[in-house]
Amino acid sequence: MSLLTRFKKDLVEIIDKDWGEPVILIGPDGHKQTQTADDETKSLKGILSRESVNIDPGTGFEAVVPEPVLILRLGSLTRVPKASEKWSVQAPPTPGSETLQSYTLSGPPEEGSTIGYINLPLRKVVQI
Amino acid sequence: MAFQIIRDSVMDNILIPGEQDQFRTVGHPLPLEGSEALLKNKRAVAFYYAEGDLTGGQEYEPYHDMIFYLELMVAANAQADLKVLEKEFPEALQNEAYSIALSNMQAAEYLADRLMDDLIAIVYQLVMKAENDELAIDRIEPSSGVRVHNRLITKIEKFPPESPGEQTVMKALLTLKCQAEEDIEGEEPLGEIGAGDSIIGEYEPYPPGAELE
Repeated sequence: MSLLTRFKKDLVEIIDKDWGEPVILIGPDGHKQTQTADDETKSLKGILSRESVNIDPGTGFEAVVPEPVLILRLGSLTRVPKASEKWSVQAPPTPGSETLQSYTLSGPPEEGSTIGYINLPLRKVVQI
Repeated sequence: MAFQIIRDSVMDNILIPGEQDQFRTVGHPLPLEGSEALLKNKRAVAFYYAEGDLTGGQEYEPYHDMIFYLELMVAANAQADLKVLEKEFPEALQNEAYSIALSNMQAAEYLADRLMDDLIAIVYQLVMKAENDELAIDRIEPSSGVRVHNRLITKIEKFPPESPGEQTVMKALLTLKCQAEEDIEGEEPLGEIGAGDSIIGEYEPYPPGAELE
């Protein structure tokens, strides 16, 4: 088995079985995806990193800020989000939460396309 | 010093009473990180003394040209009709309903920009109000003896939006200039009077031997 094939298999293990949480994607055409593209019996899952440690430019000290980034397996997507498109991403605001929070893309997706995953930087959406 | 009295007067007599639940006033530069904790209704105003030029000589009290910064910060989230996006629809209607809701989503950058323009207008009008021409000191703290001259917001500068977290944050800087005399504490010491010094206005005795009229 090649290293790339091994890595893609590992992604399925890590995201779909071990660490992923159920998420819902709605694309700009209104298509809603709740199941993985490669197995429609299973929920679409992603790993949501909710916070990051940044350096405050004013003080030089580290500050923990809510900066959600969703990691998805490219093989699980029916359509891959692109920069400048309007998407709705619904994901649990805290690990294990049963309610979902609405987010949208806060910047261009970062693709690790050669090894089969995509990072979506997210920003909270509130009701108009 | 006068700049401290002016700083406190603007904070306590103009900005805080003018908040009207629309923004929060703080007395120090605003950090970008952790902004959510600082913002009230998504808007905050920081007011602080930035720099000054002092002119004057030995015979006059120094004249202080002061610059204060009004640092404005707003934060915004993207807005969309979540009642539609989080609702289940029959399959025939679903795509159209969701795509309309997504196309009507308002970007956080746009909303932050509009919030900032509103905040600039509110703060500008508060500080430049006709009755605040002496930055409220003459009305509320006349006993301080400070007279403020030439109060003017001379510059408004907006900065590009940043996204330190879940929100989009935007900053702007208003430059407020004014002038006041700085009072110097203490008294200037007098030199010792030596023999032969004449004191203007004092009685000068007749020289010895002079006849009295």
